[in-house]
Amino acid sequence: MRWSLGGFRPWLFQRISAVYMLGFLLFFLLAIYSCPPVDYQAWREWFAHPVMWMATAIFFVSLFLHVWVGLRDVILDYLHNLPVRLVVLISLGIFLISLTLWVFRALFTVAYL
Amino acid sequence: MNKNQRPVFLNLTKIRLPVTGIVSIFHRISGLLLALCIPLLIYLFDLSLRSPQGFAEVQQLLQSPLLKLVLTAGAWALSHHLIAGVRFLLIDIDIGVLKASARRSAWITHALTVLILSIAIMVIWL
Repeated sequence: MRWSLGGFRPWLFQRISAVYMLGFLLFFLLAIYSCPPVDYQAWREWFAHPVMWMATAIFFVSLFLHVWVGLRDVILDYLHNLPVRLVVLISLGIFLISLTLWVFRALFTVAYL
Repeated sequence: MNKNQRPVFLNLTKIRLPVTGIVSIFHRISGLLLALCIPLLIYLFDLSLRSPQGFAEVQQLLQSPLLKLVLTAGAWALSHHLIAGVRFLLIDIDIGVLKASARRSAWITHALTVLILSIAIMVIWL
């Protein structure tokens, strides 16, 4: 597999994740507005539902992909010193992977407890 | 040609950015702001799902003025980023590419952002 910075694939990831997140957020706002989760039990049941669980998991994966492509573009635009660029990109990667692990830990506790 | 000899003009106070350029730079700034909000978002999400106590704690936190301020900034960033994002997606599929329509949709983006932000401010603060 060829890994390059820039190019068609990241561009496409950015667009697909954008469309998915837009749909999810509109649905989420509508749900919050029409039947607000009144207590912990209701809130938890939302995310324990397999469809909502999966939709939320896909949302966060989309979010991290989207942030990776977006911030990577910003970094490549403004940081021209190669070592600096590399360090910042790697830090961003570690940061996003940690956030992914964190949010999935939260999601798995809902699914299995 | 030596790249380094090209003239550089980056006096930000003197560049008159067109309305489409303002949408573009705001899209970038709002994206960065939203990315910075993610740890807070996940913290609240995690806490709210952990236990009834955690849920109550998040409800309490959402009432604090500091978090309301952050939410307001986040609401601006999110509404601008989404609307400008839809505009860029439309431009991707060749809708609104010409200068006049691109300028018009840029103004619409700003107007819709102000509208949604006003609604968000009412929801957050009232």
